[in-house]
Amino acid sequence: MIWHHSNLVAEVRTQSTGRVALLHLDATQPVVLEGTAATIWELLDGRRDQADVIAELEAAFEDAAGQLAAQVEAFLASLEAQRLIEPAGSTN
Amino acid sequence: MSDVLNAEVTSNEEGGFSRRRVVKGVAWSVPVLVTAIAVPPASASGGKFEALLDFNTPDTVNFVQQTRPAVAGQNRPGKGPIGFHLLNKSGATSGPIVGTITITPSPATATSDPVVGINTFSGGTLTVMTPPPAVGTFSANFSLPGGVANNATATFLLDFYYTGTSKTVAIGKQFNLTVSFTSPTGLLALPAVLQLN
Repeated sequence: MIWHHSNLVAEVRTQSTGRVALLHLDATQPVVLEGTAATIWELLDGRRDQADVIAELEAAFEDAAGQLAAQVEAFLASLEAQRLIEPAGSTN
Repeated sequence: MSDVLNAEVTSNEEGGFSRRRVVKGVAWSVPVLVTAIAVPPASASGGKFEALLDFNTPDTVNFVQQTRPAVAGQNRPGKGPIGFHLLNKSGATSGPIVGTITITPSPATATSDPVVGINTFSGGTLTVMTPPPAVGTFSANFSLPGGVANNATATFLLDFYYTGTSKTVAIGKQFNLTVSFTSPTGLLALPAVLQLN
């Protein structure tokens, strides 16, 4: 599965803290991504598939508990549920 | 949000992920969505959209052992919500409700520890991540395509299972449950702690 950011999402980021604020244009409240959540957001570029994203994260982070892949999958499900990301090839 | 005011506004990056942001060896932590502005407490007045978890009084739930649900003594009592409800006082039909329910071990568990997931769900459609995880985070999407009419309440009921064949391993384990979805007032996230006793 390849994901890309929804075209209906406005994005503001701070380079200093790595925080990303997102607002879906049909929503009234923004959400904020920090840390690993912000990193995953950056990796969802419409080119990498889900396995690529997980592989890059596994290369970059120490995952002592072995939870990374499952947690990324759950997080992507949350982003999709909030309509912040869409499968590549879909349109708004 | 003050630092956001000084932030650089960007469109989606064509260049994708910048490795400068990640230092190899940094400890992994659970990625989460955070609401930027606190949602006011639910209220039945004032044109609001109420979303609350529901609990028994006292706070008790039953965790069914997934592998041996009919074996006496294997199901475990514990604490956690029995469901959640949405009360729409916004003045209009809500539109479709879609969201996610995640249950994450707290703290992260060893591979021999149980997973807690949703055993039964009513009030909407639940789509469980397939297959459910053998270890770690349970995740499922839920939806109510018809939404919630104005001045109406939608009630969702749920209960839980735990995995593994040893009830003694499960005793005392805690999990973080989050119900998140987009409502007419924006993104709502309802957190709770589950505990097996």
